Formats: sequence, structure tokens, C-alpha cells
Amino acid sequence: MAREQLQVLNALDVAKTQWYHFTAIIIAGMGFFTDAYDLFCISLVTKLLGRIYYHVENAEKPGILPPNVSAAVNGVAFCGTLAGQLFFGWLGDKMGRKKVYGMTLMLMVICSVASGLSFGHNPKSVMTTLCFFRFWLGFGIGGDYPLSATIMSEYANKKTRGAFIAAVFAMQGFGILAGGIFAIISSAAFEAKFDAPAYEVDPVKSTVPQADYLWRIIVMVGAIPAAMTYYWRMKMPETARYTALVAKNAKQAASDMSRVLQVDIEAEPQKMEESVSAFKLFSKEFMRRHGLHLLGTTSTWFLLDIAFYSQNLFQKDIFSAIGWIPPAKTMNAIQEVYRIARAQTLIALCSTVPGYWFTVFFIDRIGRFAIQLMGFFFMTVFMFALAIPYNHWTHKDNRIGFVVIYSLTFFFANFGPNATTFVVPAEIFPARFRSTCHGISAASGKLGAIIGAFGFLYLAQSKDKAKVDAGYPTGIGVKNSLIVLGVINFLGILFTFLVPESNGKSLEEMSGENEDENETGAMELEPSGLNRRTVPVA
Amino acid sequence: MAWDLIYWLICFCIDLALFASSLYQYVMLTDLEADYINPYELSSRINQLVVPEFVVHIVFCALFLLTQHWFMFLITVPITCYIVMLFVKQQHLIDVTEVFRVLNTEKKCRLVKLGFYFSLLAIIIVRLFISGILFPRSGSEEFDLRASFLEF
Repeated sequence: MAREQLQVLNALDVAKTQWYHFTAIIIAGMGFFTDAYDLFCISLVTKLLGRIYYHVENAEKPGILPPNVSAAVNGVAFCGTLAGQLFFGWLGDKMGRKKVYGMTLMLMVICSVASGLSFGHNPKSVMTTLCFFRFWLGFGIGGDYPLSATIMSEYANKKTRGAFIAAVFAMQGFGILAGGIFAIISSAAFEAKFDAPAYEVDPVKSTVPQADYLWRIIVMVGAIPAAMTYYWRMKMPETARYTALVAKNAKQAASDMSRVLQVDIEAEPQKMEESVSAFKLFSKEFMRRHGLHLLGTTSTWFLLDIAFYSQNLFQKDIFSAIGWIPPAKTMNAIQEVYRIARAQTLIALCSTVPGYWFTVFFIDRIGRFAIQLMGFFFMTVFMFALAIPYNHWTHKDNRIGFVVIYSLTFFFANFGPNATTFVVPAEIFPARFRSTCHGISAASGKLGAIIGAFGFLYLAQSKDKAKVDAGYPTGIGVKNSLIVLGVINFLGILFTFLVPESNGKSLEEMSGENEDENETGAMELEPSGLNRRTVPVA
Repeated sequence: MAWDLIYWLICFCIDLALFASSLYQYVMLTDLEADYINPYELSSRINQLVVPEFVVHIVFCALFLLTQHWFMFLITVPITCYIVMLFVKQQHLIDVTEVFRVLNTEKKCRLVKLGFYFSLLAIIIVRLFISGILFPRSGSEEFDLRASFLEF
């Protein structure tokens, strides 16, 4: 027989959308803002780092980072994020979401400032310090994923939970925009102050010494919005679901929620004394109930991130190939940063950011499953549309069409699996595993990101040895890489069928927490009327 | 120089701020309806924001006028007139005792502003994109400060 819903959890579920929900979105979202800013800004400055630290005398093209250094700078944050997601996800379930939340934010703020202050006498030591701090930055960022999702999921009401979690995720879009906007403004300012000739005119003078400050400033500024929300993060009470269901303190949960939701909630300690089904993570019971769900969330996030991060990282090369960014040697160091920042910001503005907000608007209307399926489907279609007639797109006249289809792929990635793979793991698992399972799914996603980023760095190199960037071996070419991405997106469609729909249901209903452990057969709940008592049984 | 792009970026940020302010006020009013805050708290929060929002909007409108973007100026003028009218009649602040009577009107007003700022946001994004793409791409003459000032 199913246990009855605690009144405090029910009050959370049926609460009308209030300003408090919005403040929770902003507080949780600022972590994501910093995360997106930090992960995005490195792709803006890698070319600048190459010019400053790896300048080769009398070379025709400006210095670029050698493959291993480039891979390290781009990828070490991902490795840190993967580790952080697993570690902080588990810790969030053990110690409580709120306690760990402040830790991750502080780590992110300190490490982004420290990475901007990377010191060293020679290029190798600067890069090493940068990579060291970016690893720990990634560790903090990784913690933010499962915790923000879980906190938002546990605070939200039934009707708009999907929209709120997606809105927290959408703050990433603002982080990307802010990174691009700040890079544009600061590189324009530097350019105005320190005029320098193009590389082909004067290789040495094209990189002014002050260019070193530019990338440091861009990297460090990301810490400011995060630092500002630290106070509010510490002020938020622990989520009621954690306090009531995991820490077993119903009285504290009720008083916390009364404070933030401005309603009177009675504590019901007598309900907690009933025995609770207590299967552990990865026990047979867990596998029976949630095994396929976990497989579904981890595999879809993994496949999505391979495609998503490979696109982000070889975007600049695509832009050069289609002529939107002129060849590196026709610009000086700062102009190059400006051009790249402008191109990526415009793509983000038109394709990435709107995708997030479409998801926020539609996710509670048409459901997570529909959006994820639709997103993967369109990504497959557009990837193949780009890959198969690839030679058509490399002609100068067709480059606008290329950009349009490329942007549409990104749009459907965000109005689609990128958002839903973040939302769903925060909704379908029991409270005592919620953060851990979300961390596991997120970590598999980051594994896909690492494969996408590094793999495609090498894979997309041209088959022709003459056209390959310095230091890279030949690959299979951009066209074949795009075909591989299309196949990966198609696999995403297939794995989406393992994921359940959580639209409009309460968290306890989705995870079956009110079910008894000994129930055999299907997990289907009794008619919902019986579970929704708002008055405690005397 | 990149002044055109930076100008539209600044407009984007200002519009976002105005949008956020209208959203905040609208949600506060719905919270009052649902009895989540009391009238005194509501009116003190909204009244704090009202005059700064008016000032920002007038600056926004003036920015369009001074940089000769006539279309943008003309579409922001109606709200500027409305703001000035409210201020002259001293009806721009919310009175604690009257708040329940005017609740629906105030909500509608915020909703209209929300819709307006949102469509303005869309227009600004389009113009941002245009200024980014149609910017001359090759050669270094574009980075001559004097030449780009003359573009205005």
C-alpha cells in the first residue's frame, strides 16, 4: 500500500508560481552562468595563446598551440568536470544539497581568478599552471550540474517543474552571450588603444605585449557574477525533500518551507515513523525499478554531448573554411580575438540562446520525451544535410546557407536533448539518489564531450597532408566527421525510448518513493486521488 | 571600429534590464493576488523600481534619437509619452490603500510592457546580427577610427 504524501511536499507541488521560484532560478542559474562563461571563453582565447606563447620565427602562419597543449587546455576542464559531477553528486546525497552548494561556487570563483593569474617564465609553465587551475575549475563546475538540477527540481511545483529546471539550464545561454559580449568589448578596447599591424605585415609587432592581459582579463571576469550570488546561496534553506525524505527531519522541512513559500505547513513526524523501502544504489531492487532509466539518461546525454561539443570546438575552423573569419595571418592578435568572439556570439545569439527558451516554454506543454525525440531527429537530418553535399557548402556563395543550417542544428540541440537530458535525471530518481544519479548521467555526458572535443580535433583534420594544421596527423576530413556525427545523433533517437515521461507528475510519484519495497509487478500507481491527501491522518 | 556592434549590444543589455524589471513587477502583483505578500511590501518593492525604470526608458529612447535610428525611436516614443503622462498626473506610484482596486489595471499595464520589451528584444537581436554580418570583412581600413566615426 502506498504511503501518503507528506503535507510539506504536497504544498511544494501545488504552490502557485511565485517570485521565490524566480529567485531560486537566478541563484541556481548563476552557477551555470559562470560554468558556461568559463567553458566558452577558453575557446575564444586559444588562438591568442598560440600567438603569444608559441610564436615561431619566420613562419608563414601565426603560432598555434601544439596538438597536445591545445587538447590539454580545452579538455582538462572537462576532466575536472567529470570528476566533480561524480564526487559532488554523491556528496550532495550524503551531506545535503545546500552544504555542498557553497563549496562548489567558491571553488569555481577562486579557480577562475587563479587561472587568469597563471604565472611562469616560459610558455610551458604558463600552460601548466593554466591547466592545473582549469582542472579544479572544472571540478567545481561539475559539482554545479547535479546540485543545481536537484535543488531546482525539489523546490519547483508540479506544473512548471520542467520549465524551471530548463530555465536554470538556460542561464548557460546567458553565460555564453556574456562571454562573447565581454570578449568583443574588451578586444575592441584593446584594439583601439594598441594599434598593431597584421601578421603578414610584421609578425613580431602584430602581437602586442598587452595582448597577454587581454586573455587573462576575459578569463577572470567570469568569477564576478558568481561571487555576487554566494551570499544568497548560503541563505537558501536546505530543500524540503532532502530534509524530510533523506535526513528524516519532517519538522525542519515544514518550517523551512513555511518561511520561503509564505504558507502555513504542519509538520507530520508521525508519517516518518512508517518503514521506508531502503534499497541501496545499484542493488537489485534499484536495477529493477530504475536500471533502464539510468541507462537511458546516461546514454542519451553521452551521445548528445559527443555531437554538441565537437561542433562547439571546431566552429572556428568551419568559420575560416567558409570565409566568415579571414585567414589568421591577415589579422593581428587582438583583431583575431574580436573576429572569433563576434562570430561565435552571433551564432550563440541566434541559435543557441533561443533554443533554451523554446524548451522552457514548451517542456511542460508537450513533454520531455517529445522534445528530446524531435531534437535528436532534426539534429540527425541537419547533420546529414550538411555532410552529404559538403562540397556545395564550401563555395563562397553558399556560405550563408551553411551557417543557417549549422545554426539550426544548434537550435534543435538546445530545443531538444541538451535541455531534456539535463531535466529528466533530476526528476525520475528517488530523493536519496537523485543527486548521485544526475551526477552519473552528467558525467557520462562529459565523457561524450571529451570524446567529441578531442576525437574531432584529430578526426576533422584534412586527408590532404598539406592542408593539415601544424603538428596534427591527417584525419578523415570534415565531411566524413559530419557523417559520423549524424549517425551518433541517430543512435540518440533510439536510446531516447528508454527514458520515461515525467511531465506534470510529482517527484515522489515519478520515483515511486511512496511505494512499498515488496510490491511485485508493474510500478503503476493507484489512481492519483488516493495519494493526494493534504490533511494529515489523525 | 566596432562601435555599431557595441552600440547594439548596449541596447540589448538595457532592453533586457527593462524586461526583467517589468517581469519582476508583474510577478509581484500576481503574488499579491495569491496572498503570498502583503500590500505594504508589494507597494514598497514596486515603488522602489518605478522611477529608475522610467529614467532608463527615457534614456533608451533618447539614445535612439541621438544616434538617428528613427524607427527605433518612434516605436519607443508611445511608452515614453505614457510614462511622462503618469508622472505629471502623479499616478506612477502604487498606493497601499488603493492597490486592490487597481490590481488588474496595473497587471495589464505590466503585461503590455513585457510584450513590448520582448518584441523590442527580437528587433535588437536582428539588428545586432545584421551589424555583425554586413560589417566589411577584409582589409585594415575598417580599423581606422576616423573612418568609422564618419559611418554614423
